[in-house]
This record gives sequence, structure tokens and C-alpha cells, in this order.
Amino acid sequence: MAVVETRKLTKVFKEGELGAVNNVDLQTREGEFLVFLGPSGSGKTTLLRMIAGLEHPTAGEILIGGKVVNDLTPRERRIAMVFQSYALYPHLSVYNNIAFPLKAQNVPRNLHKQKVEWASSLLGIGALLQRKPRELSGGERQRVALARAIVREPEVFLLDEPLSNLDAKLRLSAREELERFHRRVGTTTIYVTHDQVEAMAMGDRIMVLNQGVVRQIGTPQEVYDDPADTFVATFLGSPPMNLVENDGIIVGFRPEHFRLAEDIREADKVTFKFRVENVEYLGAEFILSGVLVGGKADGKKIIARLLLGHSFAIGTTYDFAISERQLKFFDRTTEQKVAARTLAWQ
Amino acid sequence: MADTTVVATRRPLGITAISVALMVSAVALLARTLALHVGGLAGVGRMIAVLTCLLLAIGLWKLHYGTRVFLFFLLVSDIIGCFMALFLYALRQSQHRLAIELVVEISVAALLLWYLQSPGVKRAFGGLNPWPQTAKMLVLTVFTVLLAFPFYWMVIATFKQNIDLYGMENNPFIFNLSPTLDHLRLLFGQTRFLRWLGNTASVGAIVVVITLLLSVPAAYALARLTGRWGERLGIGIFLTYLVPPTLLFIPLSRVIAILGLQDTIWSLVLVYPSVTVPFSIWLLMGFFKSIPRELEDAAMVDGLTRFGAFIKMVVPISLSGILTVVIFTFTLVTQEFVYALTFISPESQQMVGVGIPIFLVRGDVYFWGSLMAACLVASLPVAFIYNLFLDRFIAGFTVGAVKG
Amino acid sequence: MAVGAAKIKSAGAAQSPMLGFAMFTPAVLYILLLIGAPFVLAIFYAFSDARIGSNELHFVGLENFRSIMQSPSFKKAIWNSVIFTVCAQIIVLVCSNILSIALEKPFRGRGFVRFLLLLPWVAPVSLGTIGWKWILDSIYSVITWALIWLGFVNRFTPPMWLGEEKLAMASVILVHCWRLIPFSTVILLAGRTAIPKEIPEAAAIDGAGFWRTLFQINLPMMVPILGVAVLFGTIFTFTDMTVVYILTNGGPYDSTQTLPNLAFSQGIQGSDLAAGAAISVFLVPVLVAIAYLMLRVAHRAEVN
Repeated sequence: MAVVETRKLTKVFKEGELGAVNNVDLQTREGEFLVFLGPSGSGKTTLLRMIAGLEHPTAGEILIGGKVVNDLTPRERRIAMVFQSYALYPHLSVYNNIAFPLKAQNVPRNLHKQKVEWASSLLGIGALLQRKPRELSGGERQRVALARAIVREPEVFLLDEPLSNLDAKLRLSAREELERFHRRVGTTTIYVTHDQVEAMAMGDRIMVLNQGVVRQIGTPQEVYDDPADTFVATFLGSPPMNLVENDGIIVGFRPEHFRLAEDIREADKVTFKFRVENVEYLGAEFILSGVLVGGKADGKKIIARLLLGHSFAIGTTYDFAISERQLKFFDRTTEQKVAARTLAWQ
Repeated sequence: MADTTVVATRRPLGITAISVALMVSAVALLARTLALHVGGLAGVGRMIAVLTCLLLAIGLWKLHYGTRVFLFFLLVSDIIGCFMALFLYALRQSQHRLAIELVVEISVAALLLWYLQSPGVKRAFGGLNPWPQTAKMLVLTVFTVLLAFPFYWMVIATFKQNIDLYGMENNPFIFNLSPTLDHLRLLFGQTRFLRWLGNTASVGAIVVVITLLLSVPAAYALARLTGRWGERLGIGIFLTYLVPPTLLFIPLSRVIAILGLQDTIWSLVLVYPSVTVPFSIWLLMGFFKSIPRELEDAAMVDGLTRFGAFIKMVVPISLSGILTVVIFTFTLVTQEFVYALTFISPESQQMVGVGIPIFLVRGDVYFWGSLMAACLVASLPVAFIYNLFLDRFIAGFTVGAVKG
Repeated sequence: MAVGAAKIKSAGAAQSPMLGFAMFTPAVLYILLLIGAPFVLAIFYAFSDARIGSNELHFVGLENFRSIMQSPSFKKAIWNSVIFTVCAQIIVLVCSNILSIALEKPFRGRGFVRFLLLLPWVAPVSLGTIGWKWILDSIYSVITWALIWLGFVNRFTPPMWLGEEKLAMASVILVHCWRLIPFSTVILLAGRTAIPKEIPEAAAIDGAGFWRTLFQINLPMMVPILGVAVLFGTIFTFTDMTVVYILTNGGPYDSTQTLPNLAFSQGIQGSDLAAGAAISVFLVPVLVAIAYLMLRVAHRAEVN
């Protein structure tokens, strides 16, 4: 097992244009499950491909296990990668798909059978070995791709949105399976996704990227509760964090913390008049959208998320509040997090 | 915002030196060329050398990746060329001085190559392995030269004076005497070349019209109206494209004779669509299938008949497909040889494809200059147009064996 | 009633069978009359004594076949047709594979390079072949000039490229290759670009080098398209008469004679339509085999 490290890693596809990846510094921990999270075009896949050796960095260094691997081919990096499309070899049987890395890396022939059987039983696809990829379901293909990745016992796993080709139901079970799989093999894993739910559920740590720049690295909790800037604040969470400007400071709060004033026990809370304009009933909760009335943030659109137990009428104004410790503060120009402070709202 | 400037890499000393040396030699070569008043082809050659040196010098100075690959390519070609000259020429002809010079040149080039692929230089140029690119450039150069050579040869022969063309001592690759337009004049003035072009153009135009009239409705019907069964029939029609003229020309010659069409271009007008229609139907079926059915349904809901929807909606949308068929048909008419050779004997009724090889050759006397000129004039435009539409023809040829 | 009508309308095909019939009948009739009928006629002629200039026609059974089977030209022609086709296909397959790899990724000036590479295919065959005839001329051949200059060949006994049996055969094969390589290259290029780019990438990560990826991943995945290239190439070489007719007209001493050229010289130039037809009928088994294989490829493409 090994640690992946990048130093000032940069990739510029076209000279003079903004880089796809800019000065990325990161360091995985031994055996950790690190998620690259970002919208499409944020450079997360490019970053992963550079680590894999499929893309050559414009500047900066990549280290695997403490060794600079910039000039090494993918083969020499001892990594494994699962592609979004799984990239199974369509003309080879499942057995030969899994055995291909062994052949390519000149593992002695007599070990092939044993290793393929080990990998396939780990993923429960022992019965499928003679099939061709096109005869498999989406979930089975994913397992074959994982088996092919693990069979060579790599030092690092790279997974590029491996769940995005599955339907919603299958995705949930495949996610759990991946987590179990990672716990069992314990190999350092880097996982790319644009799906925040996947990232939150699976990651030991999440690295949020936008426009090729790292916005924040931290545990799911840190990233959600303590976003480093407004991008992270609005990218994570559904519905996203509400942002309100007051006295030259951007103040953010999560929809679930914006509640009826009577429900908040804490003494230091900020209260607002909130006129409800739309109510969405989602079964377990309400999503209310509306505007603040009066005060410095008059007319500001806000979304609130409430558990059931109340009823709301459209067009009516209610007393809402947020406990002060739930407020996040961001600089108006840099959009970076700043220290908490007390602001006047009326 | 994080700063996005790329970390500047330092230029290795050797690269600076090579760059400066190239710059100096470019200037020196330029000065020499100007001072000695070298004109004509030699002058052009020298100017190209000066420009190459300059570009290489600038590219290396700026650490441009492509320049390094190009330099690799030049050096490798140089080494290969030197080896060939050494073993095929210098050693066989006992030219010892030349042999030594060649060995020195090979060593210098090899040394430069060795330096250029050293880790420091590699890092400075972005760390990519230049060999795959170099190999590609070599492959492409070799094949381009081999495949395009006959056409280069046509150009040379077209503009060469006869004394030059038939001089055994002359280097045949270059103009030893000044170029001439005599062959072109002979071709256009004293042969039926223009008439042949005219014949070909008129046959082409008529065959295009017939092909369109037959294949557009048929392709549409097969793609839409008759469903799955239509697809089978479509493949059947495609298979008829595989039946070659060399199998059919004997019975057809009898048919043409019975119809009294022999020795007229009408025989070709009758027969050529049998070559063009099957493939055109196949091509157009692909186009029509890619048009969503809803479009026609919408047109029919808006009050058009199905045939009206076909004429007013489908045909305009697939104009590019129809244009492809037009080009395919026309180029096929210019390329066909067997039928034209079989059905038509008088010189005045010929098509270019047959007229040039058969009638510009009088007995054993070959007017190579005008022959080559004719080939060039007749083939380049056809080649150019065909090339523009090639990808679409290829899509037809692959029979669905390629799917995205 | 209205519902029923709408249903039929959406079914499309059933709605106006007459129109569909009227639209494809002319083309099908034309094809039947100008390909189907002559095809049958060719086979019929092969069993008759049809000649140019005489309108009488008698059924003579296998007489034509017996006489052509005995002619040495015919044996030579069959043998040559096979040799030319097989040799050309092998060379073309290797070269076009190399070229398609080199052309796969875009680079500056690719359009122009592609145009030059494609010239042999897109220019009319007969004209390109004339160019070769000049290159291979007995006296002024540029190849001979170069060989003399290099000292490989004596200037008093230069090689007769089209006049010596072995050299003439090699020349014909060379010209066929020259013409087919571009065609085959673009077909293979289409097949190569259709491979999802993750597949070779996955192979690279799995540790496969250039050759292993080529032979164990790319080429096996391109089998259908390689099939198409070879099948078309076979048809274009086996049934071609332009190259041989212009370059050597079958000579010297039938050493480059092929079936189509022999059929032309006996059937049209020798006025013996029946013999010509009998010779060209020998193309049919090859065509049938190719048609069958082509259908297999198309079917396989449909299944996948």
C-alpha cells in the first residue's frame, strides 16, 4: 500500500488558457478512501488521469509511495483504475478480462488461475467467468472491472465515477458493496464523483475541486459543516446553503437550520420574518421557499427545510430563526471563510 | 484565487547552444545565398533550409515540444539516409572520402539524438517521450512519398521538355532544362482530350439524375415504409454492388448491340446506373434512418400527405446525403473503365478514363509528356472532390461493422 | 374508427404500402434488369456458342468449359488471379494497419497528408496506372535510373519491369497494393476510432505495452472491420481488369494474365462471347463466398 502525493500539479491543455488543473497539492493517507468531488469540468478526472499516468502534467510532481513517478508509464506505477464505462475488453471472456493484467505484467502462468479465482470469489462473480462482457448486467460489469483492478494487488486504486452508469436502485447497493470491498482490501483508494451523496457516504475525506483548483479537503463532516468558501457551501447540500449579505459580509446558513423561532431553544438566535411562497411536500419533510421580510435582508430569497409537524400556508409570514452558532461567514470579495462575528440584522 | 502561472522550467545549456548554432548557420547560409546570387531552384532550396534552421532555432529557444519531435525526426531521417548512402553508394563505389564524411555525420546526429533524449532535456520539454511521435512522422513521410509518387511524377513529366524527359543522362527527379507548357498545348490543341472531358461530364450529369430519381425514393421506401423486411432487401441491394462489371460486360455488350447503342455514350448512360444505384440506395438508407420519424409525423399532422412529407421535409433535410450520392455517382463515372472500353470504340465518343490510356498511346509511340498531363488534369479534380466526401462513402462501405 | 386510423398511421409501414411499393419498384426493376438478367445471361452464355456478329445461339453444354480448361492461358489466369489477390491483401493489410495507427490522432496538417495518401484511391484507376506505366517504362524508368546510379544494375541490361515474368507479376501486385492501401487505411481508421478510448487506456494501466495492446486488444476488436477491408480488397483485386489491361495486357506470355482480362480478350476482342462468359463465370464462386462473409459481418454488427 502506498501514499499518493501531488506537488503543485498543473495541467494546461491549450497554451494561454486557464489550466484544467492548477497547482494542486494533496496527500492521501495510508489506506484511506479519498473522494474528488466537483462539478463537471472541475478537473477532477484530469487530476485522476495524471495520477494514473494517462495524462502528462504540464508542471508539478506526482509521488506514489514517496517516489516521483512523473516519467513512469501507467504500468510502472503499480496502480489500478476502474473507468466510468468499466472499459471491459469486449472480445475477451470475464476470465480473460481479469487475467489480462497478469499476462501483461508477466506474472508466471501457473499463478493466473489461482489469482483470478481469488479475485472473482472476492467479488462473487465466480459463476460468470466464461461469459462475455456484453452478456453481463451493469452491476456484474462493475464487479468484473473491480476484479480486474484488484487481481494484480495494486498499491493504489483509482475509480472514475464507477457508479454513474448504473440506475438509481442498483447504485445504492453497488455503493455499499464498494465500501465493503474497500474495508476488506484496505488499499488506498481515490474516487472521483460529481455526486455529493456518494462523496459524503463513502469518503474518509473529500477533496472539493472547482475550475481545477482545490477548494477544500476534509472529512465529510468538516466539508459540510465548515465549508471553506461559498463554492463549497453551495455545492454541497441539497437544497444548498442560503447566502445572505449583511454589512459587507456574506452570511450562510443551511436550510435545515432555518426553523420556526419557537422551535429554537438557544438564547442567541437571529429571528426573521419569513413569507412562504412555495411549499414542496417530500414525504419526510417540507421544502419551503420564500423571502425575508423587513430588516437588512429584506426581499432575500431563502429556502428552508423542515420536518413534518407544522402546516404552512402560501403567502403567510411566519417568525423564523437561526441559532447564531449555525451561521457561517464569508468575505464578500474573496468568498473565503472568515471568523464568526455578531451582526445587526434589523 | 490560486495563481495559474506555470512554473517556468530552465533551458538546459546544450539547448541554448544548439539554438544559437542554428541561428548562426541560418544567418550564414542566408548571407552566402545572397552574396553568391544563387537563383532558380537551388536558391529556393537554400531559402527553405534557412527558414527551417530559423524555425528550429526559435522553437528550441522557446522549448516548444513540437520542435523537439521535429528535430528528432530530422535527425533520425538523416541517420537512416546516411546509412543508406553509406552502404548503397559510398562503399559500393569505393568513395572513401564520402564514406568517412557520412560516418562523421551519423556520429554527430547520433550524439545530438542522445543528448536530446537525456533526462534533463526531456524534463525541460515537458517530459514526454518523443519516440512514438517520431515514428509516426517517419511512417507518414515514407508512405506519403510512396503513395503520392506517381502523381509527383506526372507533374514532373507534364512540365518537362522532351529532350530533358528522354535524356538518359539527366537526373530525372528535377528539371534539368527550364519547364515548358508544350505538352499541355499539345494535349488541348491536337488531341480529343477536351471532347473526352465533355463526354464524361455529360454522361456523368445524366447518370447523376437517373441515379437520384431511382435511388432516393427507393432508399426512403426501404428505410421507412417497409420496416424490417426493407432492411433485408436493402442488404440484398447492397450485395448487388459487389457484382463486378467484369462479370457482366459480356452479356451486356450483347444487350447494347441489340439495342443499337454501341459506340454511343448512351450505352454508358444506360449501364452506369446499375453500378451507382445499389450503393447510393445503401448510403441514402443510412441518412434517412437518422431522420426522426416524428418529423414526418408532425408534417403529416400539419396536413401533408406521406409523399408530400417526403418531398417537402425529408429530401431537404437529407440534402447532404443526396450531395454525397451526386459526388459518388459522378466520380464513379469518371473512374469506370471496363464498360467504356467494351461498349465504345470510336475515339470521338470516348470517356477520359479510357481515351487517355488507349488513344493517347499511338501504337508503340508514347507521348509521355502529354499523357501525364492528361492524367494529372483529369484525376486531380476528381480526387479532390472525392476526398471531401470520403468519410461518408466509408460509412457506407463499413456495412454497420463500425458503430460509435 | 379514428383510433384505428391513428394506430395504423403510427405503424407507418402499413399505412401506404402502395406508395412504398411504387417508390422502390423502379430501382429494384432496374437492378434486376441490368444486374440480375445479365448475371443469368452470363451463366447461360457460358453454356452456349454465342459469338459477336452472329445471332444464332445453341446450347452446347460443357463444351466451353472443356475447351478453356485445356487452355494454358486459363490455368495461368486462375492461378494469377489468386496469387495477385492473396499477396496484395497481405501487403495491404499490414501497411494499412501501420498507416491507420499513424493517422489516428489528429495533428496539424493531417488533412493535407490524408489527401496525398488517398490520391491513389480517389484518382481514376486507369490514369494512376498509366502513371505507373511511365515509372516502369522499359527505357526511361526512374527506378532503373536510380538503380544504375547506385551501381546495382548494368545500364546495358536494365531490368524490364513489365517485360520479364517475375518482375511483371511483382509490378502488377505493387500497383494493386498502391491503389488499395489508401482505401483499406480509411476503413481501418474508421474501425480504430470506433474503439472507445478507455479500452486502450485500461490496457495501458493493466500493464500492456504497444504490441500487446495492438495484437490482443485493438486488432481483435477490429475483426469485423478488418473483414470488411479484406473482402472489399479481394473484390477489387480479383475482379479488376484495368490495372492488368493497361500495365501488361496479360503479358509477357500470359504471366500476368487474370480471369477478367482473359475474359475480355477472348470474349470481346476475340469475338467469342461464350468463351468469355465461361471464363468470367469462374468469378462467381469467389463473389458468393464474399457475399456470404459480408452478410456474416453485417449480422454480427447487428447483434452487438
